[in-house]
Amino acid sequence: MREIFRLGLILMTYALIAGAALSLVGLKTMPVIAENLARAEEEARIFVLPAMNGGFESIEGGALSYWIGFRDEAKTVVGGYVFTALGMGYSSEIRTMIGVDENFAIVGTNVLFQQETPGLGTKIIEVSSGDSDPWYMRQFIGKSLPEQLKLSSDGGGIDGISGATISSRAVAESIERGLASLQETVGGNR
Amino acid sequence: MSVLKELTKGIYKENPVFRLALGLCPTLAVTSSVENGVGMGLAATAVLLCSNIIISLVRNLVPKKIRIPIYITIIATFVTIVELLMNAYFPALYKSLGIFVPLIVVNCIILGRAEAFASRNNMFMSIVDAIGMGVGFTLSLVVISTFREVLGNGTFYGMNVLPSSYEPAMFMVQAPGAFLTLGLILAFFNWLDLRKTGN
Repeated sequence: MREIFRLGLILMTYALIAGAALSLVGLKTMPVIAENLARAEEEARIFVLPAMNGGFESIEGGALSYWIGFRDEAKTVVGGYVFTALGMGYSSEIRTMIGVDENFAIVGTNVLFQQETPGLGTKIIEVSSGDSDPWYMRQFIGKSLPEQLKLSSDGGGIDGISGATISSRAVAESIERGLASLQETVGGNR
Repeated sequence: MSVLKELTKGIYKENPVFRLALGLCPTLAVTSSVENGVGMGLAATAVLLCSNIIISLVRNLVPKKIRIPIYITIIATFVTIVELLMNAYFPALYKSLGIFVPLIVVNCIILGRAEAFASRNNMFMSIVDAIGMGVGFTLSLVVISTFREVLGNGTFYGMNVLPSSYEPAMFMVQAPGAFLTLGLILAFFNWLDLRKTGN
């Protein structure tokens, strides 16, 4: 009996030290991590919808959360919108940030998160040598609703990836859905 | 016990993957590209180094009956600290390695070295052991992922190395390719062994 208490106490001491070390590191790193995340999102917004001198304004609470980008610093001229599209891929959720101009044509895309099969589904973010952006995602630039945002096998204007149809379709469908929802939400607010 | 022997044993004689068959689960999972293999190898080496140092320092303060829970606590703590620090100060590295870092806790090479080496040797020898084993693990991952990435995707470390007329054997970067590659390499090492002993 005394042996159990002794061993329990020793184990507890190790756990206490480990816990203290972790909370110390956690306290130091949490604010930096949150800051990194916020900055990454801000950079992603600027990347998908550039030249917004008035910055972005977040609109939340409706069916879809999105940002309005303003062309001028007085925030009177709307230059476009940014939203995040969510799609269920083959092995993960695929989160894509999309920037559209004031006429809802796609200006820029950025895949924020995906854990698809390496070598197959990850081709949605594969960059060919000499390029700066993924060749699959580039197909969306300049496109708009209603018909162009489907895979060509589904009657649209996007070429799917052979061997990764589920991933490429998930991206196209999530963007199509998000854009439709955005047009509806913005139309309702106008 | 010579320092050089402890340092080099992980590369061939006691190679963790090919000879001891340890850490096969992360090995199979992350070797779809050379970049992932190198990343996982280096991250595991860093944790192995830290845990070997601490465990060799406290080896006389650990009762035998509860050594495993204590080792796991120490290893898991280091993995979490590495993850937090990477996330905060090296976000780009974290983004490419993020999913592998938590996997290091269950990498049995680390617990294996704690149990078999660090708990019985001083800090200096444990550091040497960690570096040797870490390098051996990283090299094994590079060997396997080279076969898989070149044959399965036509690239090495993301660079095209095969002519574009080559049609990549897609299954090599999927799970079956991992088993096939590892199995053939293990068979090769066993064959070397048998030949050496003259059987």
